[in-house]
Amino acid sequence: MSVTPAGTVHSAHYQRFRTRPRTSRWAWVAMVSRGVRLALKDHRNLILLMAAPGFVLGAVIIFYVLSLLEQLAGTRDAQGLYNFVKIFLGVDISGAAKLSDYRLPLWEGVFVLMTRLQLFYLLIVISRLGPGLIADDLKTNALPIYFARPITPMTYLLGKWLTIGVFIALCMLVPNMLALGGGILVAGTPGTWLQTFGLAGNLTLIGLGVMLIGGLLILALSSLTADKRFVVVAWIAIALLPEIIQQILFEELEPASTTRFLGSLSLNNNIMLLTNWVFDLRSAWQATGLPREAYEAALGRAVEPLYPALVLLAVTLTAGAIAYRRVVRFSQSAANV
Amino acid sequence: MLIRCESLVKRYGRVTALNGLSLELEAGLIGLLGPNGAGKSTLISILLGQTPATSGRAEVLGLDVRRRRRRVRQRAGFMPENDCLIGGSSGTGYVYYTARLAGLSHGDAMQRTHEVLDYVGLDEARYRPAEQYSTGMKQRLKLAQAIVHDPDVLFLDEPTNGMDPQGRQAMLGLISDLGRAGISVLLSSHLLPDVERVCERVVILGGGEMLASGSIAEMRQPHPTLYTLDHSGDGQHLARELQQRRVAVHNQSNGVLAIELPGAGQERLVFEAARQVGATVRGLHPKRSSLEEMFMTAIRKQEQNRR
Repeated sequence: MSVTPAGTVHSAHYQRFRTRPRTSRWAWVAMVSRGVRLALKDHRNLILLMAAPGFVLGAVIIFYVLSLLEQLAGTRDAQGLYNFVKIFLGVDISGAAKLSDYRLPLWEGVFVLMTRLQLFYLLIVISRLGPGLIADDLKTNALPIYFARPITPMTYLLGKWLTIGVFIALCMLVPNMLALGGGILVAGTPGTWLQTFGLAGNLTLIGLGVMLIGGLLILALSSLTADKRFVVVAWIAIALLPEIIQQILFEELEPASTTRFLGSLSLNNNIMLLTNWVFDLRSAWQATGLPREAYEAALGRAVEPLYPALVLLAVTLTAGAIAYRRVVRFSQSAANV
Repeated sequence: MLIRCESLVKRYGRVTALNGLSLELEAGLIGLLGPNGAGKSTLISILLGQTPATSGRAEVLGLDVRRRRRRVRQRAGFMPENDCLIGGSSGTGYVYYTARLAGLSHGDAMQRTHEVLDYVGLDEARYRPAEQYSTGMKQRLKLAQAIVHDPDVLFLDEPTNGMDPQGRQAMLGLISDLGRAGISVLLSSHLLPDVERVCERVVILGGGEMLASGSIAEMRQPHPTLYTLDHSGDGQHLARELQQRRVAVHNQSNGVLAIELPGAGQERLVFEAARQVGATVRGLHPKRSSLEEMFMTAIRKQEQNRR
């Protein structure tokens, strides 16, 4: 004879639950996990994210060509590879004697190129996955549910930021790390590891920086409206308009006048300038002893790093403050909405 | 003590939502009544630690809502009035997520999700997208998320809004059952019969102040002079006889008269009149005020005081 214990799910009456909630400090983990799973349910997002491994593949191919070039330097077969490097990295190393001396700046150049492409890729990824983060909660009036739970506005914001942060990392930080690992593997020389492992720190710094800036900016925009279409428009406008203006200024103005704030209008450009600064590409090339004209094209316009840093800091702090203030306001009016 | 408020004031700019509200409520099923703008939602918001009070102090389950907000929310459940679904979820996904937000582990959250969805009667529908639910199902789902972490106190804001009569009865049955299981409920509703059916006590708010408070049974004391007289025989004849004895007859229909005695303890006048006209008194019941009458009286009193 089977005996139904008290408190089974089939009981008609309410049964108290003996296990008390342990802690709500990790509520942001539940938010991130749900946010990521929900985004991946959409096949279009999956397809978009599947482009990220392309960066790894592309970079590893270039690293392979570079290692091949080191072996074929000085031979007739190397000429095609020199052209390949010139097209992709903008440096002419055909006059170089010992190519392994140029390994670090060349690899840094590959990552600078990769970052430039990834920033445009992220523009699309964030415009698809970021706008609904807070806007959808406003639209569906979900905030009373969040703020009746033991979570603070900061926990809510952290959960939302990390949700988009996971995708930014999947599109930038993770591919960069995999590309570095793959490059070391295909290079096949122990010296490569010693010369390039330091790049991992720089790549992490750049990846986290983009997560912070991009994530907070899209959260701030998303907190301003319940209609995510407006967020998409605002995001694209903020990302692209200054870029276009910047290009026009670079075309029209003297290089000297664009080394300060005039050269720091575009978000993408500012991130690229700081990426160059983090890698210290200019010094790395100067240390090689190559003539300046051989690598100048790879460095882009010289802008003092202070200005892009100040602009990005201002954007990040403003976005963070807007998002936080909005979320605090929502949390205080949650029961009344 | 379930809830204690001391001189609670909440101002939104020039508007005063709560005006020095002080109340003490013991555990149980409590109705929170008041017209629009009475301060009900503001009070719930303060008790959940969402809105800081301008001044005064509030405690839930002996916990200061300002300083121990997290703990209060761990022990409280909230069912908002409006739709508040989190997009892209099935019923199960929604309740599971809210359980995780409340701090339950994955295993506990999953177990409780299915328990409470069974309890509120969302059977197979739990796997469907919540956006496709009917109003009644959404109300049940909101109740499920409010109880998934097994709170000690539940704040329910209009839980029967938009439900059909059958669904409404079922929802009220669930709320009563939660009360029997030891969960205290603060039920805010415009539907006075709902409050009357479910709650043991009631608090009536108006203009941010407490207008009345107490046990519904006590507040519904029998009226000393108003009675319902159930009789057989000629009603009109009996009514005339009663009026001759200074008993006012307010209404008569199908053998039932609504009467008002000239004073308390004068029931014998009814029996004398019935004997005189040869009618039989089948029943003489003192009239009890409905919650609606009590509510209206409290509001009227407040309006008179303002004038």
